[in-house]
Amino acid sequence: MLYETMMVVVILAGLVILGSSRIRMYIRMAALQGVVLGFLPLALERSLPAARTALLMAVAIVLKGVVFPWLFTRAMREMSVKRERSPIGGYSGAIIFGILAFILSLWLSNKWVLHPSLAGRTPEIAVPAALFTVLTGVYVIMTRKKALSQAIGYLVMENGVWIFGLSLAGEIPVLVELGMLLDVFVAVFVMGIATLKLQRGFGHMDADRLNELKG
Amino acid sequence: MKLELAGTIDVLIAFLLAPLLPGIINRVKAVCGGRRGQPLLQCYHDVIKLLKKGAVYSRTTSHVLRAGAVIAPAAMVAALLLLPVPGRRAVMSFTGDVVLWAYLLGVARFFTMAAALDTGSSFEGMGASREAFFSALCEPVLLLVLLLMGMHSSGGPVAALVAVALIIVLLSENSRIPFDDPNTHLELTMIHEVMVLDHGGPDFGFITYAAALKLWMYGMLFSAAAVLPVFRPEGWLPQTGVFLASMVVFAVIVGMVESLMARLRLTRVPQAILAGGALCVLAIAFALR
Repeated sequence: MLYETMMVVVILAGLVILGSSRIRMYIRMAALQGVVLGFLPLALERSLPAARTALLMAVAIVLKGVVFPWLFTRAMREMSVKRERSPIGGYSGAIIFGILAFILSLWLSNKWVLHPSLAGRTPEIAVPAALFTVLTGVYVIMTRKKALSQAIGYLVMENGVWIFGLSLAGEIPVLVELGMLLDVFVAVFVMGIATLKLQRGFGHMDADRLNELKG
Repeated sequence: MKLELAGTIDVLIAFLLAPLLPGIINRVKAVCGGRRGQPLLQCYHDVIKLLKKGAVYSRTTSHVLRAGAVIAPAAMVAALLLLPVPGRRAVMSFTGDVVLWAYLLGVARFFTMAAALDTGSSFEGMGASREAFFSALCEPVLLLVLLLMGMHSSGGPVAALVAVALIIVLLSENSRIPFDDPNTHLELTMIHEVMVLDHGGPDFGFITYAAALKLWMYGMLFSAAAVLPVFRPEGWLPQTGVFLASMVVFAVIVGMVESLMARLRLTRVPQAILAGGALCVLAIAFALR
């Protein structure tokens, strides 16, 4: 029940990101997803070494709930952009995409056969929720025009991978998990700097208008 | 078709208490806004005052206008017979009666819209067109909610999703705030109030009463969606008590939503209703496993 509730929160946050035009809302919802998913190891009834789980949870929650929102909010303020402007497909289109993506994820997860060692102990909703979150992230990257929204889309995508990783793989070395978080951290950091540079260099950060080379 | 005469008392309770709901909602809004507000029984006073008046009909209108004020309340009363208090049986019940219930509301809406068009006022025609637009969007979501309430009655995330989707639908259907403002008169933004501008006297009294009955019915649905999954009282008195308490909670929730939210821009309304649909699809996915 706890796991299902968490997944519902994550999926709803994804839908809000699809349907909203405020970048502040994207940041909040991505942070909400990150924090809820940070507590995911608790919902999985699996005996993990306590110290290791606690370390992983702490790093994930601090990174996704505090550091990333702070970075994004700062970038948003410096660039003085608050809203996404006319994304491809519109916001209603994005919500319809969300519904279709969820149905597609359910269908796919029914098609896929889990490895017998996982079949019994993986919650049924794990695969569709993970797929849906990844698809949401990809859709945001594809259709939103501000570089900042695209960076948040990347973060949402990573949240989906996180669901996959934690729910499906029984034993991942803690180093790998921490390495993954470090990757995301560096990526978000670089994207934050890149969007700032874009803003300073060109006076805007519409990925649409970056279609010619300057030498 | 099964008849359950004990349900008659529930119908009488609805007749008696329905106009109280708008009163509670207005009181909640007034308290949130720091005002004293109108009396709780204001809606009763309004209806009684209107019933005492004589009716005036414009010469451009035909019998359609008069039919609207009669058929719409009659359809509401018929719909009320089909809806049970959570945990009990309705006066009339048969397999698939939820569909009849949804379309009795549709009949009421159709005749209200026809009456609005009959007045020949472009202003009322605009309201009718908006009503048709929003209700066409709401209908699939409402049917999905009813389907989910039929197939799934345990607690957990599904019940929460269904309750939220139902709140979105009922706010739109009853012309409450994020979708329509029941307080605006003579503004270009309103929907329900504009359609009934040309009704007066007893006709308008019937329409006000029918609107209260509609709100009451959606309150019953909400009570069934939110209370039944977690708590199933036994016996007549506990059932009635829990039901009435949940109706008060329902009115307070609607009042709080109205105090805290601003009206949505007209172009954002379809998106909000669509979000309700998305919640339903999500709930179906969870309920089916």
